[in-house]
Amino acid sequence: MRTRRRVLVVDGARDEREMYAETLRLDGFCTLQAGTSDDGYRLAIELLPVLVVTDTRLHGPEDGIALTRRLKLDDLTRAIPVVLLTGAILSPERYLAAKAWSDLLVTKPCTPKELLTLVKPLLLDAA
Amino acid sequence: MALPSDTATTRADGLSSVDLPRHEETDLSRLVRLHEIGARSVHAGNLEPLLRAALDTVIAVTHADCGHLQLIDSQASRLRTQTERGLPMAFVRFFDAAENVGSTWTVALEQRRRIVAPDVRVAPEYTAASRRVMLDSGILSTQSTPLLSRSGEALGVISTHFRVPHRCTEIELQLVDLVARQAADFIEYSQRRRELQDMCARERTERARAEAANDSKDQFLAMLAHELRQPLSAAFPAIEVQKRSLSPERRQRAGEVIAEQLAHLARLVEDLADASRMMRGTIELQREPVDLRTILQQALDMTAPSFQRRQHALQMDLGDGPVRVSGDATRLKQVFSNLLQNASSYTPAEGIIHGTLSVDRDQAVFRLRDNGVGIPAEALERIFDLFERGEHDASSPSVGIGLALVRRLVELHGGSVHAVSDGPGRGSEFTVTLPLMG
Repeated sequence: MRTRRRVLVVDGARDEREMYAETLRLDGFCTLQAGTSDDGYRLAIELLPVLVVTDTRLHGPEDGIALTRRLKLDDLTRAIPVVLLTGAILSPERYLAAKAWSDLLVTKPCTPKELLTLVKPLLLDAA
Repeated sequence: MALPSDTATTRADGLSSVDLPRHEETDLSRLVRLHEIGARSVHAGNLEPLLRAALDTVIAVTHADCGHLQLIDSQASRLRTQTERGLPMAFVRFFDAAENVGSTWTVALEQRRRIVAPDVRVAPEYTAASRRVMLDSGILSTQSTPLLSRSGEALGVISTHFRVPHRCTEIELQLVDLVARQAADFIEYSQRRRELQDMCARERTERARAEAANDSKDQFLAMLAHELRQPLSAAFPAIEVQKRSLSPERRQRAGEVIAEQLAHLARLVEDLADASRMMRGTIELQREPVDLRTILQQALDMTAPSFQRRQHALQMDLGDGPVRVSGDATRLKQVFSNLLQNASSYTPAEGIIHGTLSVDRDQAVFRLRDNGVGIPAEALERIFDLFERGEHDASSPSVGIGLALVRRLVELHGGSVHAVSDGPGRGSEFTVTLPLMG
């Protein structure tokens, strides 16, 4: 059996994180979860997922945009596509920053099916 | 309204057509200078140099020994000395302090015409007391000319005094009229200018306030959209899990998430409805005798999942006997569940929350203490304002209505609520007091 592809889900809200992770699992991914930017970053460099899905709102001092930036500035993780989920409360500046650093910016609420459709092209690139 | 420069031109022209005796030419140059001083005074927003120059000019043209200029104090609606020349302090103090004391200037103001008293000793305008002050000040003769605006409003009086019985010539009095008119024009112009400036300033403040209100409305709508999306955002994948997962445990967990998020959503919608009622002042209480311990227990049951999820250590001392107040059971439950929910939202996982219910004389007192994020001193007053909210946990939606509603409901019950905190990161304590049933 081939190794299932790992996806890292980072979200400050536990219910939401768990449910997105679970749907990705149902679609055949192996999912990792983190609630803070630090935990997310650590899991990413240790386990090198094929995709990171992060909410903008996280626990702790850093938000999802900061995490995305860290991942994109690190040679180890630069190639991993990052999807930023946002409740669209971003100011224009933060919106531009989010768009600049992430591979894809998705506005919530979005169904798992929509999310999967959106991330599929990114995964082909990453293969 | 005519500008002072126009006034001056017509005045000066008018004057030059009068056949003045040679020695009066100096008076003409005085009038020209007065006009210049007046224009400068108005521009600088300080009328004092104008008033002084007007008085000096009138003293010069009437060949008087001393004089004073009074304006109507709009607040007290009485005359107040603005400037004087050669008068003893006692004179000014007496006439500024005395109410309705007879004098040529009070009559001049009342009748809006010049009053001349060639001999103060017999002038009918003075009472015994005011006559005494006049004579003590060495004044035997006086004239008072009202300062009338173009609209006919009396703004003040300019008076000159003589140490000997005296009668001014007609030409002197005409010059006094000219000065009085010029001074009145400047005073009126200055007052209008000030009113206009005040009006502009008021309009600017109002516009700024309206813009701020609009900004906060935009912010509120953005925040509201986000908070309403948050529960949906968890519910969508949960529905998917329920549909597709083969694991009964996972399907059950998904069901819990859906139920919880729907409850969040329902609470948000209910809060919004309450906020609208609060703003329209249409909240009504259905009062009945209630036991606060029962109410608190029910509020605890409502909020328990929130504490469990975040593994808070929750401790409650509700005392032994019933604590009866006259209140609306549903609304009071809302008060306490909002406070408990608030404590949960602003306390990190595994934090400690401690509530006590006690009786202090004729008051029921509920204290809720947490070791959570605390409240900065400058925000303590604000936290009970509508649509005000702090940095809170992403899993507890809030649109800043809960605490505003707590305050309104407690106040409707005749009680009070306040918060104390040692600052950020050092927890907070909320205290609600409600009057006990008599």
